[in-house]
Amino acid sequence: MTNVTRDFSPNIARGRGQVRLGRDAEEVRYLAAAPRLGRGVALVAALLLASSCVDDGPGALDASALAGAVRAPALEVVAISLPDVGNGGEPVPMQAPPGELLLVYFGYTSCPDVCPTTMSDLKVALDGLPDALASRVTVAMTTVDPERDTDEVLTGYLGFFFDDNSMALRAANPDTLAEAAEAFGVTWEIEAHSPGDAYMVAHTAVTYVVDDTGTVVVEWPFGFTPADMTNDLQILLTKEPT
Amino acid sequence: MNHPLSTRRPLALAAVAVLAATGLLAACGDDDDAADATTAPAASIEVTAAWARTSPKVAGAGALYMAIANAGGVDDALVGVSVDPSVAKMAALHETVAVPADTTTGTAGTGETLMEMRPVDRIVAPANGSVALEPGGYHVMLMELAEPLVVGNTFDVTLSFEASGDVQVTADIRDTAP
Repeated sequence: MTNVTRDFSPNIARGRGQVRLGRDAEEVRYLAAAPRLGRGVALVAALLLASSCVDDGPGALDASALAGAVRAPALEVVAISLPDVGNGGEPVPMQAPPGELLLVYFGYTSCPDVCPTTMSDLKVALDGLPDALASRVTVAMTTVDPERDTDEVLTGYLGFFFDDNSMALRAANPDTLAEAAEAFGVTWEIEAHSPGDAYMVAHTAVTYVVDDTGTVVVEWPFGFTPADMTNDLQILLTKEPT
Repeated sequence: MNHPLSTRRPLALAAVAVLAATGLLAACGDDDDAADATTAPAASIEVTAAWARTSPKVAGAGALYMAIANAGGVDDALVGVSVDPSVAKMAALHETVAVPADTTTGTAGTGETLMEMRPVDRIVAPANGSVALEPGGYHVMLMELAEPLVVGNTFDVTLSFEASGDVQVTADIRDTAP
């Protein structure tokens, strides 16, 4: 585990406590949501379980070391493609290039608090990695507000936080966006508004870490610390290929 | 004090507070020096670490955070905020809350959590306590930014407190929390 450089505030902790990633009977191991002490206990328990019943040979991924949420069964998103409007709108599959990771987030650029906080935290997390590892990570933000987030706006927004290693995903076709959201388990609600008026969008604020097979290998809810993100990325990027 | 950007409610509350204070002063028979009217418990507000996150050129919205300490013996509350129009057209008190997705009409992912913003009327700074405006919780939403918020720059903010009146602070523009 890495050092935790930022404690959770009461506000964030409250929000995090309500985060529920499980869908119906699916099992989600969500260590990070527990209070610090409880989390340590849970982590020890998970490690004991792992050592007693999992054959973690050399190079195998020790999922219990991941700080984020691991869903079982994992979400498979390889069938989903979204237009990369920073690259001519070419549809890109939700699958990282070989040996790399794709971080997928659903948000909107008029979001004052949650989205820029998440983008900034992701940037700090990537800055915490050696360049050789960070260069194998791409951040993809999918807008849930295509009405205001034009191609130019979304591309400019991602470019502000990340240089080359980002993708601006915008589906002009609502069905395409809905299909992608369903695959990730993302929900959003757009406030009723008249054309031209400001409005807010409530949305799932989870960052999904997708591997080169199109599997979501770990999920980071809002408020997850950059240090924990860096920890998870380091583990996932340095595991031996299976 | 000019409040071009405040909502009506904070003004009304401020007016009530002023009237109440005036009444107290009159009752004490000391209506020419407000500084003497401090024998009763009073709120004592100190605002620190005011900061706003840098914003992309394309973003129309920003958020302002701070720590509010109340060393006084009575509760106070932040009820209004304003910034110069050269910073943003509007500023408002907001809270980000995590709410369960609507399981009947949600597009997908029943049981998921949504992060939702709500306007708030007042943010209480309890007596001998503090309250934080921070990412994922209470914040000041800056709407229709006039210019991108550039790291290293600062801007002035007027905070209106129910009991303590207006407090001026300078916010730093930063990439990450101080």
